[in-house]
Amino acid sequence: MPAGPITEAPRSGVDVLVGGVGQLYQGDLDLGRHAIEALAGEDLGRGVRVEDLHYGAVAVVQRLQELRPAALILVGAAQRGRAPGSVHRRSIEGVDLPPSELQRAVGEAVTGYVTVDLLIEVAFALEALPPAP
Amino acid sequence: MCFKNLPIDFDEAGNATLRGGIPDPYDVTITKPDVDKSEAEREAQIRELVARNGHIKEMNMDPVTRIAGAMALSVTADLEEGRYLDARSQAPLFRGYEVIAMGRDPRDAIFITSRACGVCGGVHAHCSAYAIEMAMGLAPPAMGTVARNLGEAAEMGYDNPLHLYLLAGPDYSEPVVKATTPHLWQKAQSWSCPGVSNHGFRTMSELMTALTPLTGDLYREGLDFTRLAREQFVLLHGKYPHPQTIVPGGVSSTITLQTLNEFHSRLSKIFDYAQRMVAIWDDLTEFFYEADERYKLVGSRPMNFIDTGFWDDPYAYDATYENCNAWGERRWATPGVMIDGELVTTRLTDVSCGFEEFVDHSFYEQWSGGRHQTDPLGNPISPYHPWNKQTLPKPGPKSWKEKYTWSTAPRWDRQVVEAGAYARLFITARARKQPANDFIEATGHSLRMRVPKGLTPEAELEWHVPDTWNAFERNRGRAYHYLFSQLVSLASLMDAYDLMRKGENRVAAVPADELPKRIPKEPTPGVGFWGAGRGFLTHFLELDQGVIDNYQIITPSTINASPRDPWEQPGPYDESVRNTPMLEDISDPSKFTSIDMLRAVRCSTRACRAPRTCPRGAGRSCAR
Repeated sequence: MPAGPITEAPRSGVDVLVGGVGQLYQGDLDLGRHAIEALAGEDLGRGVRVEDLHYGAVAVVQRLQELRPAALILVGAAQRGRAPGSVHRRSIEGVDLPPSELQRAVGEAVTGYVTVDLLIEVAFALEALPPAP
Repeated sequence: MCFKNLPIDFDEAGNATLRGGIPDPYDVTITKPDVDKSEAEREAQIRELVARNGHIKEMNMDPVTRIAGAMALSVTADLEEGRYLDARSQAPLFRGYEVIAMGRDPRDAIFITSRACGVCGGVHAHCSAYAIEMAMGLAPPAMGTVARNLGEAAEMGYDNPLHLYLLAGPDYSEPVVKATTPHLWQKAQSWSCPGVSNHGFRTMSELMTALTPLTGDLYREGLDFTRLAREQFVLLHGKYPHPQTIVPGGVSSTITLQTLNEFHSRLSKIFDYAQRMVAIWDDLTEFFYEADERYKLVGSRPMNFIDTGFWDDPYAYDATYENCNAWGERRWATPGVMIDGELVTTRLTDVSCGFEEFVDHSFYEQWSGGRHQTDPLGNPISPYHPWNKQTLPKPGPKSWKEKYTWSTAPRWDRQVVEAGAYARLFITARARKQPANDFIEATGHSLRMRVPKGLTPEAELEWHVPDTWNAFERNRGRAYHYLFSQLVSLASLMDAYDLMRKGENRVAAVPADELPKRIPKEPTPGVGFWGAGRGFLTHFLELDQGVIDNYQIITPSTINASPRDPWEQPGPYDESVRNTPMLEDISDPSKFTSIDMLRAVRCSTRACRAPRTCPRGAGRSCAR
């Protein structure tokens, strides 16, 4: 029978992974990456790791499977109908989407879409989100 | 003599000239292809059918999912007769990379145009570098070319499993087959897979279960192997997608023995998987053919292919247009054109000279005139050739009779040709011009591929030029192309070790700080003849005063999703859909899914026009 997943990494010791999601020169003004660049210079404490996670949801999921952080904080910009520049914090404990929508999310991710929402959906679909507290 | 329609003759030395005595040889009303039925006749036929048949259904799919979200399809279906009467694919988004590139330093184009695709994240960067280095007169050293070959083979290692298992594969999975063709699912449960010793699935139903999205073993394994390929690419080029190390005249990476060893360790894991992939798509194809011969018509169309070739011979490629026929024919995948299954040319100059882009049904204004009547070798080129084209966006309302898509209609010799990874297999097999090597043998009717030992023993696999062309053969061809590309990778890796042993480690023609001095000030054309996961890829450019004065990208999706041309010939997608029978269970029309049509489209390509980051809900693309 086919082999299982190639990589099954042990826990990395990263307690909190802070990731920026965005793309250079695009309509989200690349907020995620700017945020990461700013945070990278801060002393955020032991076990906190800051990374650019803009490079596609499936690849990011594989990074999450590698690091297996206890908590994940994503920073990005999305249009929600609020005033531009509004800051909003969402707590994600799961994604309420049927399998067909999760399949669609993976399909979009591998064909080049990059958004915070898509990353969360794909990470949930492929069971890479940290466990709910 | 490769042209049937364009009035181009060749002398004994192979130089092309326009036939004399034709006042305007490229006028679309003078030089015309044979078209069996006019659009007016076709529309009249559909109107008549609609009038007497209540089962005619108009359907709009926007977007077509698992293709890239940037393609829509409108079809007219006769549910009673079980056939598609008409189809029109549309690219609903303006990309505009050509416009963004105008007036910039040519080196910027590598990074800007890389974003033309969100899947094949390195091919546009490479193609752009090829075009620029031709204009700058910079030939990469052998190790630079080998590094590119290795990176691009890795990119195929990413693209092909992704396509087969994440995009096309779900159309053959248990949930889809059960829902659309219950009788096939029943048959699958007792159908013994001939390739069980390679892939491990005893019955076809087990294999189809493994193709199930999210939960299936093959789906998840496909994801894992895309990672391995990305790692290979990143080892060489630092970043994927959109590498920063592809430069005119080579690459800027540091290639060490360790780099090559790490690349090799990943490559060696791939060959068992590639053999399994071939066995899976062989078995799937044979199962469907055996179940119902009409599956051979799903996505069928003539064997008309175009390809620019892929992966250079490091000792032949010199970045000149003057020698492009010589170095093109030394590529691992031979460039060329096939019409009705016959190879008509392998010369890149012919590929280029026969190429035209029409915008009659596209949201662009027709440009007037053209700066070039010939290519740099004096071969005639059309006013519709990419070196003469200007990108003049003209958005407007959608009208089938007027304009309805952002894709253009590329044609070769005014004929409809198809792009695809499998076009590489056809042309390479037929041409028999590959460099001598230990792994791949072109026989004229097949490609024999010798696979090194992995967990499974050494083996020889053979892809045969099929006698029919359809969705299943496209998928099967892509599986064999995966193996082909990884064998190119192995051969190139051996080239790299050899170069390193000889101390030939230089990867770029000139140091980075010398590049600005090499940018020509006078008008200079260039072209990148390269390839994508879905085949044919070209970037044509013109430099003037040291900046980009014109830039034209032709992707495989532009070709395959093209609209009607001036003679109302449908593009490859539209033609494939028209030829597709409805084989799904349509006893209850409310449950009609169009799965056969979707298989016809998804087997071919994904749209190489992925949009850029955009907040959801605000549209899926941000044209800048």
